[in-house]
Amino acid sequence: MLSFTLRSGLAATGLGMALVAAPVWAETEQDPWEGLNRSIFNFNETVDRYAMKPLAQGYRYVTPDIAETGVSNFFENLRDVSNVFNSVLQLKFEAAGKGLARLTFNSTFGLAGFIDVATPMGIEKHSEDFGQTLGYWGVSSGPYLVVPFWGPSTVRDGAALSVDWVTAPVVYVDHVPTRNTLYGLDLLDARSRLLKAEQIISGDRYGFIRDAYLQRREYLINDGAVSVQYDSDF
Amino acid sequence: MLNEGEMLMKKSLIALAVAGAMTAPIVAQADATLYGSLRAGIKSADDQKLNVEDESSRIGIKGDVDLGLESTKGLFVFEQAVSTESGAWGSGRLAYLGATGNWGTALIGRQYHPFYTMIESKTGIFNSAGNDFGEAFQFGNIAHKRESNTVAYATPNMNGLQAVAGIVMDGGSDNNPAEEDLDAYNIGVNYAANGLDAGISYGAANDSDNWEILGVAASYQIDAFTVAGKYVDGSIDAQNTDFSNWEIAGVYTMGATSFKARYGNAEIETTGAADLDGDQWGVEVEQKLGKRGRVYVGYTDFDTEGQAIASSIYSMVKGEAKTVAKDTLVLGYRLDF
Repeated sequence: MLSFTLRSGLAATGLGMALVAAPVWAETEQDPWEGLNRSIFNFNETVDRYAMKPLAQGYRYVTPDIAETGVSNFFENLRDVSNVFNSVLQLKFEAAGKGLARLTFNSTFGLAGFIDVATPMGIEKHSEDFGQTLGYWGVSSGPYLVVPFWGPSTVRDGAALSVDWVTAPVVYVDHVPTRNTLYGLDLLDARSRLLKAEQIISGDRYGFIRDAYLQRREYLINDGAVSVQYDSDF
Repeated sequence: MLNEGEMLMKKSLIALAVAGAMTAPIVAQADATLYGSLRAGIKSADDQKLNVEDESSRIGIKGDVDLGLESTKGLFVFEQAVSTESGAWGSGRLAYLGATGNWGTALIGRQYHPFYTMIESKTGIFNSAGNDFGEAFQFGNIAHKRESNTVAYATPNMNGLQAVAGIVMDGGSDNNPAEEDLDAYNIGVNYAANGLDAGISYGAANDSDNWEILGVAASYQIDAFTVAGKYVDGSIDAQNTDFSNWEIAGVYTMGATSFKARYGNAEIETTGAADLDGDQWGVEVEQKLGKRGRVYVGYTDFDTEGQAIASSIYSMVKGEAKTVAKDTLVLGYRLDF
C-alpha cells in the first residue's frame, strides 16, 4: 500500500527517490536563493499546518476510501489532457497515444474518469508537464524556487506552471463556483495523498523536500534514467 | 448422502453424458463450427435520447464437407443476425453453399458481393458499422453487399491476385417487361500482397432500376500504420440520379490499442432536384481485450448535406425512411466466439 502511494503522488515519488539516494544532497549552486526560499517555505509550512493539513486529514477521515479513489481518478483523468499535450511537444507519440486512449476510455466507460478502467485494460499512465517539456528541449532548471502556496519548484518549472494552468480542463469551466470547487477539491485530494508519504521525511525538512523535488524532476525529465553519483560521499 | 430424487437426477445426468459421448463423433464428422460475434453499444445521437442498441451481432454455423473428390470439398455458411436489443434472431446475413478446390471456388446462395469485400470494406474501419455510422456513405451497399439469389465464381488466389464474378437471378414473371433472367451482376479483381491491398469492381443491375456502379479502393500497411482510400462512382437511370463518394481512412495500432480516423465526401445529383454534396468524418479508439474481446469509443459527424445523403442511402439500403443523426457517439463492447 505504501509503495502504491509513493508511486501515485508526484512529490511522493520524489520523496521515495530521495530516500533511496540519500544522503546525496543537491549542490548549493542549485539553491542560491536559499534565504528567500526558506522564508517562503516557512510561510507555506504555516499555511499547511493550520489550514491544508487539517483539512486534508478531515477529508480523509470523513470520506470513504472508494470516494477518495474516485476523486483522485477524476483529477488524474483531467491531467491526462496535459500529459497528451506535453507528450506531443516532446515527440513522445506513443505516450501521447496512450494518454489519448486513457482519456477516451476513462471519460466514457470510466464514468467521467471516476473509475480508472484504462490501467487494468493495460494502457499505462505517462505523466508529463510543461516544465518537463522545457527540460526535454534543453532548458536548464535555473535556481530552486519555493513558490508561495504552491511549494517546491524551479524558475523554469515555476514559469511553466502558467502553461500547465491553461492545459488543465478545469480552467475552462465557465461556472465560477463549480470551477473553484473543483480547484479546492483537487488541492485537497493532492494534499491528502501526501499525508502518508510525508511521514518518511527526516532531518532538515526544507533540505529534504528540496533535494527530493530536484531529483524527482531529473528522474521525470529523463524518463527514469538518472545519473546518481554514489561515490561522491565515500 | 443423496436422496431418491438426487439419485434419479444423477442417473439421468449419467445417461445424458453417455448419449452425449455417443453423438459427439457424429458432430465431429460433419465438421461444422459454431461461431459468432456479439456486439452491444450505448449510443448518444444528436436530438435523440440515450439508447442501448445492438451493433450488428451475428451467430453462424460454417463447415466443410468431404465430397469424396480429390482436391475439391464442399463448404457451407449459415449466418444470422441476432439482436442484443430485442433478444431475437434478426434477418439472415449469409446462407450459401458451394465447392472449393485448386480450380477456384463456386458459391450459390446469399453471400457477399465483391463490391463489398474488395471496395467498401477497405475504408470500413469502424467497429460501429451501421448505415448511420461506419457504412453511412457506402453506395455499393444498396445492391452489392450481402445479396440473395447469387451465383458466384472466384478464381484461386494467384500470388495475391484474385478475381470474382457473380450473377443475381431473382425470378419474376415472364410477362413483366422490366424483369430479366440475369437481374444483376458484379465482378471484381483484387490484389493483396506485401502490405498492399488494392481492388477494382463493377456492378450493374438490368432490372427496373437500371443501376451501375464502379469502385476502386486500396489500403497500404506500413508497420503499425494503415492508410486506405476509396472512390466510387455510379448512377441509377430509373431515378435520373448520379452519385459518387470518396473516403480516406487511417488506422494506427499500438499494441492492443488502435486509433482510427476517416474523412469522406459524397455527392448525389438528381435531375430536377438540388445537388447534394456532403461530408462525414469519424474517429474511433479501440482497445482489444485478449484475443476475443474489445471495447471501443467512436464518434462521427456529418455536415447538413452529408446528413441528407446518409439518410437517403439508409432508406435505399434498409427500405425504410430514417433521418440519420447529425452526430453520434458510441461506446461499444464486443465478444467473438
